[in-house]
Amino acid sequence: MNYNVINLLWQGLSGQKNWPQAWRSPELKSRYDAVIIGGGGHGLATAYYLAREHGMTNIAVLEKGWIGGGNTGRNTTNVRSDYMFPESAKMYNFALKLYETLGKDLNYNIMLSQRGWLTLIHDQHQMEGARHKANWLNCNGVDGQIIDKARVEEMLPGLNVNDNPRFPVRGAFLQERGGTIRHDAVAWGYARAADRLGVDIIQNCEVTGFDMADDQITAVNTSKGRVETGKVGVAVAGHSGVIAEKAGFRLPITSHCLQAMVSEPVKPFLDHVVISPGTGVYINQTQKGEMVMGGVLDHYNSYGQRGNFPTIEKVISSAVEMFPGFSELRLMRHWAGIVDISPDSSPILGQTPVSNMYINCGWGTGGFKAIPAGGYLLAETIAKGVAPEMAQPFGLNRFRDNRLVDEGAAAGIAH
Amino acid sequence: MIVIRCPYCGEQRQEEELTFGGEAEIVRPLEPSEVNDEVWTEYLYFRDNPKGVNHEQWCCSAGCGQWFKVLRNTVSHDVLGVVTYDKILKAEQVA
Amino acid sequence: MSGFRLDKGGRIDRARSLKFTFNGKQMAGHPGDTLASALLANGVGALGRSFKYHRPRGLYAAGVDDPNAMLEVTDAYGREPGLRAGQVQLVDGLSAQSVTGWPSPAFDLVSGFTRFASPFMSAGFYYKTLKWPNWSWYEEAIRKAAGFGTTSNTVDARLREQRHDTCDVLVIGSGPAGLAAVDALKGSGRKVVLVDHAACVGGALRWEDAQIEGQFGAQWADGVAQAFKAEGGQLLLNTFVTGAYEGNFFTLIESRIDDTGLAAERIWKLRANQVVLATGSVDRPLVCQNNDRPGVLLSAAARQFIGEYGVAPGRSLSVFTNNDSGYLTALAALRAGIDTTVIDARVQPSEAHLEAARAAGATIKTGVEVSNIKGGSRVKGLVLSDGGHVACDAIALAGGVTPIIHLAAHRGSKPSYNAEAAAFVCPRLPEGWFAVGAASGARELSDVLAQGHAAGQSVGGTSTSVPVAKVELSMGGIEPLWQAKTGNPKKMFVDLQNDVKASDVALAARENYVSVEHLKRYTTLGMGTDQGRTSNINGIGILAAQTGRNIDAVGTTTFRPPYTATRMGAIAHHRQQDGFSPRRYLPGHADHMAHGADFEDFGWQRPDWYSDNGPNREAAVDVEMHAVRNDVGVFDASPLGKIEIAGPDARAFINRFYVSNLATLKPGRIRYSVMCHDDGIIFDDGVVACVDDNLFLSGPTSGNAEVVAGWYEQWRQTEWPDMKVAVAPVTSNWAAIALAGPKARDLLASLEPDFDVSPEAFAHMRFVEGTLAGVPARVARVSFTGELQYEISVPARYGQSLMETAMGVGETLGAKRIGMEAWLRLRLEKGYLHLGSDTNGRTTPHDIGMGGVVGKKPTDFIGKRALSLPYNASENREQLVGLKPVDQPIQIGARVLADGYDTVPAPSIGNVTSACDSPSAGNIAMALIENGAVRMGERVKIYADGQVSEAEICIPVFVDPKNERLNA
Repeated sequence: MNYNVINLLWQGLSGQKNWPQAWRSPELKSRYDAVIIGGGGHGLATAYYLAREHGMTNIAVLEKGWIGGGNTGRNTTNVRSDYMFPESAKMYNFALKLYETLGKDLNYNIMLSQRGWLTLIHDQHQMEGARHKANWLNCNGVDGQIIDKARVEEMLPGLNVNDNPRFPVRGAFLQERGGTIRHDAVAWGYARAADRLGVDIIQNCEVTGFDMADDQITAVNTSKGRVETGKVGVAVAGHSGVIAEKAGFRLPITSHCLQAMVSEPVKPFLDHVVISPGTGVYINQTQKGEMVMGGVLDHYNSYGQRGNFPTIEKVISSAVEMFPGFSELRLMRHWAGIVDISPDSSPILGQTPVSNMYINCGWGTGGFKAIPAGGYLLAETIAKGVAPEMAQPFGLNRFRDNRLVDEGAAAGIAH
Repeated sequence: MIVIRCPYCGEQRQEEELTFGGEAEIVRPLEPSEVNDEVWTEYLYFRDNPKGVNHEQWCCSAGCGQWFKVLRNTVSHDVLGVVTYDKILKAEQVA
Repeated sequence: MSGFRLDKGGRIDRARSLKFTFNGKQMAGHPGDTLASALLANGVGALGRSFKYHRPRGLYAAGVDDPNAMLEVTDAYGREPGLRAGQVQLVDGLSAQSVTGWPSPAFDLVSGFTRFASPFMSAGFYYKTLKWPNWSWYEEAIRKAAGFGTTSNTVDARLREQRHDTCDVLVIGSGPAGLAAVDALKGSGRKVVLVDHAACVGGALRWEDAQIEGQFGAQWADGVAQAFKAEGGQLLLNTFVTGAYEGNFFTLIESRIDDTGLAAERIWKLRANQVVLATGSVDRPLVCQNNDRPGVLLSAAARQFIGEYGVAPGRSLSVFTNNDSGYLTALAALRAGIDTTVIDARVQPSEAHLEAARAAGATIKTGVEVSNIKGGSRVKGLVLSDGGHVACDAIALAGGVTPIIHLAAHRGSKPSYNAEAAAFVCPRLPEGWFAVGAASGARELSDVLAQGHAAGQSVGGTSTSVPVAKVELSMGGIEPLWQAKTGNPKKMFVDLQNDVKASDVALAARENYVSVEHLKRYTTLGMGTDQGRTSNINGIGILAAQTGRNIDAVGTTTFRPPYTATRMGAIAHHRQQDGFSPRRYLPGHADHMAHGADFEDFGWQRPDWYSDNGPNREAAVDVEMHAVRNDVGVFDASPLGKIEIAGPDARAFINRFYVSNLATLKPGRIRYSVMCHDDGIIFDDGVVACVDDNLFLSGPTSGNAEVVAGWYEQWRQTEWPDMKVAVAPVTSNWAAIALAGPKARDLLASLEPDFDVSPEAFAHMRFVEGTLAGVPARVARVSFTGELQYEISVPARYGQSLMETAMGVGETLGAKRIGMEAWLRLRLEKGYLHLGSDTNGRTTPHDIGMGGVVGKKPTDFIGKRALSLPYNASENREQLVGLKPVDQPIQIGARVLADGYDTVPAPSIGNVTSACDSPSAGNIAMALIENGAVRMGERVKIYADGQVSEAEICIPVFVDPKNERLNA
């Protein structure tokens, strides 16, 4: 049943009793044309595009827990596409463009709020970097501009600009199309749409190993049984190394905790997303009024999905330093995801040493903003057996050629 | 809070006092000019990333400044063993 | 609410009165009250309105468990946008404001609309609509409707502190369980910390009817606490344990409240060897129609209001219960003179309980449920499932007791459902932890004391006798009732803050959001400020029933720190301004200040330009550059890295880092070089001086001074431990100034050097150790400006004096202080590299013209092998070149467009990395451009800020190309 106002009114009058399932819970079949491991945003998007763009509907998404339960459900919901290298700019901007119509395409409100993303500028060197970025973005056809201190003060009342702040504000880099999206809705929207196209979404199904012959996978072994297939897509973020190991190869990835935290809700105070390269912290305010904050990675390898207190202290101190009025807000909850960090902080897309396994990982701390592109590109890779042009700069083989795409300089902090 | 006792200065250090240095015992080929590109890029970029027991190195950066090796579980964060840098870190050798 | 103050009872100080205001209205209370108990005593009903439906809401619980009582509270020290009334100690002059409901919680205009719209506003309705034309149309209105109080730009006046400590045993909770543990530890010599969030010990003993060791429970509690403190035990009251982390590391927030408000907060970081979790439990409500009306509250809260604060929730109370503890509430109410009816959903409750209630005067109905609660903004009565009516003005809901297990769950203990207790407990705890009392599911006081005592013994206690308890009635049995069987599920509230109803849980089940996490995120159950403390279990129970699973299979969502919301100011404590990240000042800072330096943070506070030299930046920079090219400039170079590499293997060691061949660097000589990471990318540049064969001085950039020292040390320890070399970072041990300009030698000579400064004796790229005016000095003749230049290092304590002296004797030479901006423009005139501007994350030594140097080095260095990898050795690399403008001045950050393009968007092949207007050479720039090195003389189009202009590629030397000045 379509989600629209008419149906909402009708259902409201009849007690909400006729809404169908958002997605089925089918039995795992013994054979699929393609299997996607990972039921987060990237995996579900891959399934959707495989079905919609390439007509492959006899496919399954295998998720070891509940869909969207990994990084997709844990991030700070920020999206932007202000990347510098043209290959990155193209891909992230493609993602943002897809996001711009995704709610309508999926018939599921993802609550895209393009409220503007500000990267603060604290010193001359950063200002020079911002000018370069603005020009490069214009060359790449992506929106972005520098705004002055007065405009920043106007957009961010409450930002510590005048009281001898530790990080003075000289201006900011603004991408107006950047903003936030309701993260769970992306997973659910893609899941429902893929399911409607016939994709089987199998939750509580963990991959335990692969049957292989001649460097090809012949079947995927899972906690719910064995599945024969000719194509496997992998979109499991921090667990990519675990899956790769089962398939017999290594990835240049290390898994780390990325923590996020949220305050109790207050009335609207912050209308944009802001990041400070001085503190490394990014903040936005949800529609409910909570301040969502995040910062740098926890530095040691971890699959724990829980962070330790030093990061919390650092992020909260930074937020209060940036907005002194925040000292009266209350931290309500903090959590973490597992991010897969690659040597150049750029994703790894495309083929692997296993000829029918295709990977989408390495997004590090920036995977959420790229979900539609990651899914679209992995889908095409699976369908055609080779990565599309947009994804080729991000192949696993770039590390052999040492052709890294190092956006480390592009983001204010590590992605 | 991960707490590790530095095997050099003997102090219990909280993670804020330490610096994590990634995988321990990575082998840098002794004759770089004699290995091929695949071996060299493997050394440069590919790392073990186990979900479970990890061989890693830490520096007592706020303390004595020595690097040492740690066996730690990356899920529970339990520290299973700590040795000075001259020792080889194999699971069975650590008390 | 129809609450009122009872004539007697409670632990308040009735002799003293405190004045406060609520929504502008003057009210009074007593010391010992919380804001909640005082509001209840003043008969306040609706405190606010719920988010979605704008239904009136009143007090539900007595403490932080309350989903409704979020108020903006102002005391003498500041204004907090959202506090639960039950967590605020009443002080004189307090003022509280409702934050939901307009114009007031009692009379809210929006509720008319929401009452009409609510059938359409079920859980998750916004996912199904509000897409057209654009979500942002609706966003504004939704944002305004949400949130509790407002933030302000002012900082509060509360003091903040942090403490670190360790202890043998941390006892969390000073109720009977925790106190029994502490009692068992008497005389054991263990270092024990006992924590409680309340202002005094005792936990539920402060209001429950119980006798321990022949005394009133609260008296016994005080006695144990006194003995504990007398022994040196640390008692932290008004303290929440907010997070349990690995390593038995805990965060605690201790509040210091004085007569006028919350004066200070202290964050504790505490590590414990062993932990006794005695955190108690919280009541949960029953889910029945209109169970959200003001006047409805949790059964245990009703007892606490009566027993601890002497406040009655109403004159005529109904207790709706599915378990024996409801009778405790009935008895407490009856003894306070409140008419009470007990409605027990169970068909055959315990005889003892029925008898006791009847004897005290209760009306009792069994085997019936509440099918509707009547009243608008106040409870008026209720309707039973058998059709009966009961008139009342307050209703206590007793749905069971939920152990407070959060801290164990923070550590990853998986909660599991205990059917006997009808609650989730954590059976497997982290090492060294003991869960006791209500937190572990025990409900009878004798069990609670026994468990506490046993835990105390397990952690080193030596006392052998368990305190003996006497209670009138047991807490006893329960028959779970997750949702009333009669009534309208669309009006049965599960999560009161987020307006989640039983029908919403059913909807989520119907739509297949059946994982407990999906239930939470889809319906927002448990996502409010109360984090589902009183609602999660009911939601889980209803979901289990709806999906035909048992409760353990559904499970709980994840418990996360903090246990209770923590003021961000308390967490940030001193880490503000320089406490966040200390500003670093140069040794000559006072001198710079005295001469009007405009400081910029370059990792150190460095003068960017001096207002002594000109009225504005451009004018001053002009003067400064002129001084360097014509007279002499004095520049504070102290932050430039200085690292000593010492030992027999010093030369071999340092030679493994720099790309240049340092095997041939003789004593007294200096060489400029760069160093790379092992991927071949440059990450630092600087000069290396050979003092003698056993001592080298490495000079990394100021931004990398510590990084490079750490880099050397890491390689030394982990890769080459057999090399006989020591690394000493000495950057801040030595202050340094640079003298640059044609008269630099004259100025140096005036500083009384004990060494020969003539050009023959002291040539370019030489190093000398000696004294200046008797002060030890290391002097390098090396130039960043292209002029005759000396860099003088003296022990840091002489830094100020050196600046002053140099400028003093330099006055007759026309010496000027030089800031960073002039310094950087001067080096640009010579095409010298500025790391991090002229290099990016891809630049190799070949790209900046050092290919020849690399080629001449026979031995390995870090990065060498990678230089022959495909990409590093490929065509079309970005190479560092100079640029001269053809038509418009070149701006920094401009992009160089690919050939054939003159508008954007366009592919681009490089960028302008440095640019300035030179007094002698005009507008000049450096750029990284693909194949730049072989395109000398060619013209390219560059784009900046909406404009395209033309420039010519040239060699990046714009002043003194023959280096005559340098070699003077």
